[in-house]
Amino acid sequence: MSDQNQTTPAATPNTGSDHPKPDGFFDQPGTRTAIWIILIALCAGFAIAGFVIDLHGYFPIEEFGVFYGLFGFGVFSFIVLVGQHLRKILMRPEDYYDE
Amino acid sequence: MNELIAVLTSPGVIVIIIALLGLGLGGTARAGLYLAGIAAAAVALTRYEMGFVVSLPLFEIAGNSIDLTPLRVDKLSFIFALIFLIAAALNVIYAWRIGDRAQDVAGLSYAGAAVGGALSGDLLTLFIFWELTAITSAVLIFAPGTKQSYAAGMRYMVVQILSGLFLLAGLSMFAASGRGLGFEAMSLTDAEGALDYAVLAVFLAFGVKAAFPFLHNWLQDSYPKTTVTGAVVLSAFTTKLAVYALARGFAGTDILIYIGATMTIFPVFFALIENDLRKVLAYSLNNQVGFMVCAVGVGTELAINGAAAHAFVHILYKALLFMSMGAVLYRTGTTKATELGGLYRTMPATTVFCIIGAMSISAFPLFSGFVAKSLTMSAVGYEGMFFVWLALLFASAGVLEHSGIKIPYFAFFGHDSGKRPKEAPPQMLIAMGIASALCIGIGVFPQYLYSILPYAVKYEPYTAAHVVTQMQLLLFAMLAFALLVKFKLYPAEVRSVNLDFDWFYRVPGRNLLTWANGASRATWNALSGICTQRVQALMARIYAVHGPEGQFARSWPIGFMALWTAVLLAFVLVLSFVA
Repeated sequence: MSDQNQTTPAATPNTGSDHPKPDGFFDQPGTRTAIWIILIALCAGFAIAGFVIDLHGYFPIEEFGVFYGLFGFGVFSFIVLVGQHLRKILMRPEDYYDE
Repeated sequence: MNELIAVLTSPGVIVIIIALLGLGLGGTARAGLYLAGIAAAAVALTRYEMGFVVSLPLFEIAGNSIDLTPLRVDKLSFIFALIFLIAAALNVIYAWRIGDRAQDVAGLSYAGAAVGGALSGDLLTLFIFWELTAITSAVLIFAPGTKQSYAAGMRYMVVQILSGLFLLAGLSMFAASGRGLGFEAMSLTDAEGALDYAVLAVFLAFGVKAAFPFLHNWLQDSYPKTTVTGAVVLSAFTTKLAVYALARGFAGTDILIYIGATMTIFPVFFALIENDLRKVLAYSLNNQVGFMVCAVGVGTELAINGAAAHAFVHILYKALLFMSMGAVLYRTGTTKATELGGLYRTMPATTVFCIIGAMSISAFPLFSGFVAKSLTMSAVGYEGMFFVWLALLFASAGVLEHSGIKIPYFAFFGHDSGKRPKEAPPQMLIAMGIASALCIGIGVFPQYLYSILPYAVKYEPYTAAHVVTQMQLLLFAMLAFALLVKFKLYPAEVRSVNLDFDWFYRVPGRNLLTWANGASRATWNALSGICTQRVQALMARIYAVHGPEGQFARSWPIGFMALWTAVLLAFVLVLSFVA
């Protein structure tokens, strides 16, 4: 396919200097700060909303204003922090199956 | 005769015939014909009245007439057939640029077989389409022509054919016991509570294709090894045909609730540590099908609606995610997270489409996953199954981790790989664009999806409580991700392969087979050696007695002969006296 694998290396490879200048929009420090602010503001907003509106669910635990927030935060951290240890048991070199 | 015409003009058969006609055409002509054929099949499908069936008497066995129902259109089969046709059309557009004849023909035949399977009203017709999906889809796995894809394709074939054999065994037992071949709701136990082996065989056939735990590895083994377009095609049909079959045959079967809940949870951990992003999507597929299987197990009207709606939207956003990874593979030659990152700079459109797929699968409000998954969650909650509900909620956060964040983050953001690939080709962008539009459209206007669900829907997904709780779950999980990355607690990707259940048949199983092969050969050699020795010894003995040097070959003196003649004469004399 003529147009396949059309990848050119970055114009200024980041390995070239000790302090590479980030070139992408999402790598600018300003953008990153903005993302943090928006994310924390949204979390705070929906946490407050959880206490303001009536959260009638199927189970009593759902009525606690930030149950879903805490559950999401806890489960996500659990999956990442505990799950990565599976590598100790399951990880093998890429050519393990020798195919 | 009318029945035969009805079967030949049924959507599944139309698609298969069109697929075969495409064999003789060039790339663009083939794609055009295929889109026209799929449109014709879609028109045929929508013109049926709900409850339409075609029946054919097959033969009589033990006084019972065995009938075939090659076509049955009701609300359950309709929604699955419809989404299979939509997926087929997206696949054709996506694959247009690449235009590989074998893959195009196999891919569309596969879609046709899935449509035919969803519309079959008896187990024998289902079996035929079931096997056809196995064979046509295997072509896609063999397509890259590498040693890995060949080996994975062979394993895939073995598993898929095994599923077909289970189905054949089950339907044979059905026919033999005079129950007919109708594909209706069935129960694993009979009236006295004893296990029904015919039903069990059918259940296992469906379980293999739905990738139940321990039967799931064919999926993660084969899908990541296929071509750019192959994975997109494969992701749509096989497992969702199995979900349809389970919904038709086993709605309300309790064990499915626990099988489904297990399926939602364990792939989350495998997806976390996996380096190949298409394999992450394969684990994610497993997890999503788990939600549907769980809903089928609950079996209420709300739950079956949940399973069908989830299958419908899942096919779209999973195809979208596989398409975006396909575009990355097409342009960079890899989908390994270790070799990717920062691609948003030069592939912005693909990045946006991938994020739309990621937000849909994570069930953000206004995206398709939200309006479908909440049906299942509510069905489980309504039945008061607290721990199952908690497991599904756990898995929902897991989906956000591997499909919502990991896929777009490691491919398009994360550390800069230095790769600057061109944007995906226009045909691929068009296919991704349509899939994205459908994901958002269904999320914003769920009533159109709800109107084609198997049962009437009295459900409002956009309540304040529902939106707030879901946003909390997702946003706080994203906050956890941001903090984990910030404090360098998120595991870096590693070039590696991770063991899963398939290790048991790929290493010890294979060793056992090699050993058994060697052992049987050694046994055979030993046995034949013993036999040969015995026969040789016998021959040597016969030779010693009868051979030229043997006892019987000795030359005897004349006197000896005369003596024996006298003895014989004397014997005859005595005999005549006695007589």
